Amino acid sequence: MKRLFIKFVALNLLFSLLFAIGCKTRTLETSIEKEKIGEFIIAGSGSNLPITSRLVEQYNQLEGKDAKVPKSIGSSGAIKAASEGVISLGLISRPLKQEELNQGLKQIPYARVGIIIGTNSDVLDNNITSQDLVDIFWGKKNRWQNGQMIIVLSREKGDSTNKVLEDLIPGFKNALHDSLKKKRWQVYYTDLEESEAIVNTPSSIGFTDTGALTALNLRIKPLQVNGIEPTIANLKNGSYPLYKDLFFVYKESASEETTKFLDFVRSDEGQRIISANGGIPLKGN
Amino acid sequence: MFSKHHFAKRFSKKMLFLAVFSGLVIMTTMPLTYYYFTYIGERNHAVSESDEIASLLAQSIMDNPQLWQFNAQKFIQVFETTDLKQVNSVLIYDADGSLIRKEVLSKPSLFEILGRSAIRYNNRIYGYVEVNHTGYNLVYQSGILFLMFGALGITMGWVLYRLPTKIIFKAEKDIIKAVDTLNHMSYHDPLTGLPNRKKLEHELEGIINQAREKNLRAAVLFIDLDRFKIVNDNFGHIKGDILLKVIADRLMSLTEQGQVLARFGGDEFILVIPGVTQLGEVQLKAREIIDEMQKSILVGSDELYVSASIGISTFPDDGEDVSTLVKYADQAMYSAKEQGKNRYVNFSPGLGQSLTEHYLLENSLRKAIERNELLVFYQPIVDIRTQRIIGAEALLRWQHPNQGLLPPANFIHLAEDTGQIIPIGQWVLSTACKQLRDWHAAGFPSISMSLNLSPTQFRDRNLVKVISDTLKQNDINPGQLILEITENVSMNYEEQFIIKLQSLKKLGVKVAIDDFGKGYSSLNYLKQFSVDLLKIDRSFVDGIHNNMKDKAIVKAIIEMANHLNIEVMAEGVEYKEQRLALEHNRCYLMQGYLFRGPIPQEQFQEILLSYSKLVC
Repeated sequence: MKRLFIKFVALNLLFSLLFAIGCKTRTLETSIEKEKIGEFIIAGSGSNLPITSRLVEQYNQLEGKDAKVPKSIGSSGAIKAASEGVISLGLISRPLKQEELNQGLKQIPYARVGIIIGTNSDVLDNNITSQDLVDIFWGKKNRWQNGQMIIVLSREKGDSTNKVLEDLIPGFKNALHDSLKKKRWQVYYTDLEESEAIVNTPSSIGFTDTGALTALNLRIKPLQVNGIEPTIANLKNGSYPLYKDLFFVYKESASEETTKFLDFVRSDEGQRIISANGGIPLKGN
Repeated sequence: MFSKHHFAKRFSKKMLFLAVFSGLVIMTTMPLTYYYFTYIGERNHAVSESDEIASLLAQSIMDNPQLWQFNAQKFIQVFETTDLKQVNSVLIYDADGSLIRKEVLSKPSLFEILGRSAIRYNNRIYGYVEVNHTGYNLVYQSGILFLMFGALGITMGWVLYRLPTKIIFKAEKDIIKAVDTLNHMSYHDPLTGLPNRKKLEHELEGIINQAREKNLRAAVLFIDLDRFKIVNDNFGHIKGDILLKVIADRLMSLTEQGQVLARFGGDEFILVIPGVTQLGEVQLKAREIIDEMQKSILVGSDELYVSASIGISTFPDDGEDVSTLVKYADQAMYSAKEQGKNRYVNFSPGLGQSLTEHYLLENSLRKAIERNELLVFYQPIVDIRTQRIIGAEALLRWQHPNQGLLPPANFIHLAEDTGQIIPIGQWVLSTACKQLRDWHAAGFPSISMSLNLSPTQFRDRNLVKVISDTLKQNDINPGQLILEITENVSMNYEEQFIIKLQSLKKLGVKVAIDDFGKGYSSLNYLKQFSVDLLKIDRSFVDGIHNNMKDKAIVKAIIEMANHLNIEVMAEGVEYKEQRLALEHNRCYLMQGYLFRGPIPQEQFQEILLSYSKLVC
């Protein structure tokens, strides 16, 4: 009787299992021809774009070239594209990591820009302390001096500006990560989107840099941080600590076209253009 | 024999298929339906998600058609801004199918549901998005459902299988039991539980075959109860059956391992003894049975006695087949009866002859009435005081075609055994009464008629009615009919005897005790009932003139009868001295060769006509 029952159950289970196995699906692959890029393209982080665009414009004009600067693909996109040889020169707003250096990439710092904690032009406040910034991201401080609601326009995790602030402002990292996790604030994924959002959103606060502010002539009100103005002079004398360096990145060895462009950037004209657009020229090797 | 569980097993097998099928349907239908529709839903969901991602990425292509695949921030934006709760991973491929980015959102599961969409922009395909949904929930829920319905399916299947099978098995068991009972009934005697004739023949056949193979002997003991018929007639069938059961039990207790005891017929049993080496063993067993049968049997308040006659035949000496062995044992048993019952007889070829004669006689007797071979002789009864014939005793004779005139002693036992005594007795009654009517008509109205009633006749339920009807038919005064019974008639059934006697007395007929003093005497009924006549047994009459004891007994009987106001008559009077002695002792009614022996009715009528007085 017991053996019969076990047989009965086993038979039922076996049939059911066989029946159920027939339900797995597979993917379909479709092939489409990839387009090859054969132009001199300089692409990368949005932080680099305002100053670099000015450099490229002048370079094209002076040298009669047609180098192109597409919209932001981010620092990591630039590193990847450069390493794959898809672009001639990459633009990054953070230094290469060791593993990236190991891939045979070379980085050339060419400008330093101050990070600006800026607001919409309707905000009356002029100064922000480090603690205020942390409190704002935690949501503890949510009104400006005039009682208006603070609208926070955040960047995604891993953004180069966020990295600098996480390093230099105590408590910011936790406040930022928590806010991102809880989707507390609106998040923008490019410098340009962020800047435009600050310009267009009343009572908003967000991040930009001296390069973008100058080169793009943005209507963003830069705030003093702990009472220090985010000026080139303060950056240079070190009293304003929030800045980031901009790099070129390319796969060794650089093409003739690349070398020529880099020479132009190192030239007086190049250095002038950087300075004129809110950056401090850096002469890298 | 009935093939056991044959149908039920086949049914059970078929039910197993049906049950497994039904169980499968129950356990798979719901889970698979749920699985299928949920899977389709999940897949559609994954496809809609991959569509959404593809459309978001299309914007990135619009911004940067050449480098969109490097725009990691855009990918991050897409992953972070799209609701991908149930998504395990998102894979983005370029148009060649090369993986651009793989976003793993949770641990990959064994089973995933895929949604795939092309990334289109400006009527061109730039790549593909694959969204892998976890199939965990689907598998888990389907699994739970499967387990639930599996349990239900197994339960239902099991019930579907077991319940009808159980019922069928039970029904078949009942049928088998009924068939077995029928088989048992057809092979066994319902009263004693012993094997019946059919079974015996089968068993005996086996024993014979075995004995033949092993070169052994076997014995058949044909056991017939003596006097069982009397018990059955007197005490009724119920007590008769009880007696048979007791006998069967006793015989069974004497039956040893390997021996076969069967009830062969009414009061006939057969014991088969296999493996006989010496005939002495068989005879010993027969003796044992006879001794055991003689022991009294208490049925209710009655203590009954029977005995057994046994006939023995042996294989291969007397016969080599069942029917011969049984037939010869039967013949030997008859021989035992012939020799006085309560004994055993071994079959011998000579027996066959005498038994054949016996059977022939039995057959002839059956036809004797039809062929008018039976006769009634009449013996005068004389009143010595008047020297006249006052009556006649009707005595049966058989004019056998081959053997001549036979007295009752030669055939009356046979008639008793075969039950023919009843019709014969009725014939005698009718004949004698007709004769009496004729004599009355011929001018002898005072003549009475005496008739002997055998115990069997006396026990006949219709006796009183038959006598009454016969007397009426012949217009005879009941007081002129004297029924002679022996003392032994009353033995073992005094109560019935008394009732029957009362009925007869009520009818008006006279009752005489025949052979008085010879048999089982109960003076009690002489006291209780008005017996009309005592016939002193001839053994006392024989010595009355020269034996003092006989004389004293006869005198005592006569004295007693006179005091009880019962008439007394002497039979077997052959000598004058006897007549005188009887007369001296005031016994005046006599019968015997001194006057006349039994004679045909013509002669008797002549005596009546010629002599009104008998000279002696």
